[in-house]
Amino acid sequence: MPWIDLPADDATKDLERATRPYRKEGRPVPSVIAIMKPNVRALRGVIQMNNAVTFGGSSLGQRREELIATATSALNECFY
Amino acid sequence: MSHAGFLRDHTGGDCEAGVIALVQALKAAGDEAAKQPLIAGVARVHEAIDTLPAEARAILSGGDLQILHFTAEAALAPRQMERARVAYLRDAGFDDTAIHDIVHVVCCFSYMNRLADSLGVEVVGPERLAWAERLYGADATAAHTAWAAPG
Repeated sequence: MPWIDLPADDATKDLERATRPYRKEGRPVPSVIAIMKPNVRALRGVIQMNNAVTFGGSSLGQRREELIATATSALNECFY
Repeated sequence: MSHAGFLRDHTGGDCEAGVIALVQALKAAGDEAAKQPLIAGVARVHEAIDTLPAEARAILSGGDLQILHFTAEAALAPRQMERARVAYLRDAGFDDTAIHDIVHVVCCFSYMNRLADSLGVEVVGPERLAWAERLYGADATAAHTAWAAPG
């Protein structure tokens, strides 16, 4: 459980809409995305940013994006 | 961590051992760097990248080592950045769009790391925990679970 309280996915209309794609895929909102539920504008903005520069969204191609992501998290010993 | 799985999936071939070796080498270097003054710590990470084990090197291709050196600097010591670092990537064959995108991906994951680690975002689910153990080891994974647990 994260160290702050998080609202339910359907706590507001905006949050329900922002988290709907995950429910459509039949999976929970990833924990690192769910942590932003207290600020749905930030949550939406970060998802847009992630899609723009990762998951094949940049000019680098997904393998190189994942190499950088993997290196950054390993150097920080972050489990995300 | 989950992105190490994506790296494995997008590298092709039987590369899991190489991905694990890369992650363990960088994690160990990051651990050592964290105990040292900033500049010395980053130098230790550069040294670790230059001496990656053969298994890790085997999954890298042209330009990847330069990306790793740049990533280490940008993620751990942005105050060290200077024009020459961009020239270093350009000399390795990256154009300005690619250089911009490299920086953006480092920024994005540095942001996500800080978000996750500042608010106790933990790895959940047996499959992901098993992958965490393979990547970081059982002790580090147990420490992560304890770190996230309610006090």
